[in-house]
Amino acid sequence: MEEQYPKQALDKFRQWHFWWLVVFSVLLIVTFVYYLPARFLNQLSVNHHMMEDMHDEEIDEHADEHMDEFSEEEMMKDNHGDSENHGEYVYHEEGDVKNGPVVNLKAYPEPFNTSEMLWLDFAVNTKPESTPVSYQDLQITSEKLMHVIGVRSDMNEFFHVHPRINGDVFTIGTQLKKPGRYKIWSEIKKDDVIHVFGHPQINITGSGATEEKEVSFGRNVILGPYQISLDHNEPIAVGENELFFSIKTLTGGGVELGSYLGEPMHLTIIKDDLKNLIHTHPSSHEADHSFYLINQAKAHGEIEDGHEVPQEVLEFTVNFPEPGLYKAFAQFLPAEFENEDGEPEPFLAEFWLEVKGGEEAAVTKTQDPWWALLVVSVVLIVILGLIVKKYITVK
Amino acid sequence: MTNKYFIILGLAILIIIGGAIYRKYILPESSLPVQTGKTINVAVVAERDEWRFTPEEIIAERGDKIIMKVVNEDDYDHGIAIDAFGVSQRMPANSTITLEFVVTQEGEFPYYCSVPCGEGEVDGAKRTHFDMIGKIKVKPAL
Repeated sequence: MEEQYPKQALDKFRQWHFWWLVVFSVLLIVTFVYYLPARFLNQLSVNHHMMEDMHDEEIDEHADEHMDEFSEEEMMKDNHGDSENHGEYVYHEEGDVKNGPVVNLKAYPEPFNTSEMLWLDFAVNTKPESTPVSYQDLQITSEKLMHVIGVRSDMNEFFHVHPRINGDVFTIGTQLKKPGRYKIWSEIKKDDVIHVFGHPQINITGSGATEEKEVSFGRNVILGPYQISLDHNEPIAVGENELFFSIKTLTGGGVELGSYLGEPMHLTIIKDDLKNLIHTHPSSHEADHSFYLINQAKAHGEIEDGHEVPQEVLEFTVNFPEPGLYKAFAQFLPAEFENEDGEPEPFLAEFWLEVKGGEEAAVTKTQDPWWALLVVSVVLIVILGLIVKKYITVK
Repeated sequence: MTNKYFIILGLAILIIIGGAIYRKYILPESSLPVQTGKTINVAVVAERDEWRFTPEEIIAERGDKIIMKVVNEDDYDHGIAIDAFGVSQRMPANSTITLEFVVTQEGEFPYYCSVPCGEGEVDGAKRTHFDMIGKIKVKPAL
């Protein structure tokens, strides 16, 4: 070669060749070391930063009138917290409590049926003497002193309401429009501990089916103009698990979430034997501000101009106490409904979850450890690189 | 030269074996492809100047193959996209297209017009491109 071309030209060529290799290497490094892994992690929704000062919103104007008696500081303390700051969480069945705080439920008028209003009185007291507990001794969680959650035995009917203070008790009237057996729970916070009390089941009579249980493990549901998807590691095992919810428009666009009871989403998870309830809020909340090398061309023919609402991903850390079937009820309020007159009704997305026990989960989990996939990928990339290098080497 | 063909062959075998191992041992059960062997033939019509897909709901079981004949009755283009199943196709004016896909996941998934197609008044109510949305409801395979 040096005989055909002058040395100067060859030097120039080598210089160009060198810089070409540098640029090409940089491109490969950016693509394979940064861009593709970043996109991959983003799609898996596992790389969320912790939420920072998410909830600066004011207390809802429809909050219980007695809320005025609580200091603003206390309200803000609750509203600024993530799930870890909501306090210790203890589950009880009403009849099992022999000591400490308990909530007793009285439902009336009997017999209960679908055509009449069902009134529920919740009396907070301390066992064993049944000493009444004043509402002033309770703390606010998610803007309310008491949350009441109920489901029908087939988990098809769900309600989440907030009784008002009525003398010594908390009272609410509700009309259950479908017959069947209903389980009701109340949740209060006292001395920085969140207590959830399961109350005896109530049988509501009326026309129509009392049980229509249908289990489906769909991970995408449509509610009006929104689609809600749930993502989680497989399998869900007893213990701590992360659940990721994302809310999009039907054409895949982002949805700005408003505040529903001080949180972007309330998640209630109930075991199908009605013996356990978990009520939690996002541990992290992040908009998908992915780094895109090119503009995103959307299937509906539009190109993102940078002004669209980013997709929100809400992360929950949930501790499942035992294996079995659970149903998750996710309540949220898009920002466009936040300022509606009256108390806006939240959207409710429902998902069935199967939680596997220790050994069963461990066997399945060993099939999909992320680090194993990473190691295998790196080894395969190195082998492929060596083979390609050998293939293109000029002898 | 022969050596290079061996290398390519070796790579191909490696990729195939890797894919088989991934599918057999790594892919979660819920993501494994299911085929019921059942085919659902459905006709979806973009009705003339209505900015509406008819029907607006299709019900299938996980693993069903859907053969969707989509009719565009309008004198302008529409499109149809089903993100969950990787479908996105343009429908020229006054045309019929046929889509085939297997519904591999349970849940509810939207199908929508993927080509901006304007707006108009239908029975006194305003309808637009964004109203051209339907839903595929995929139930568990029996």
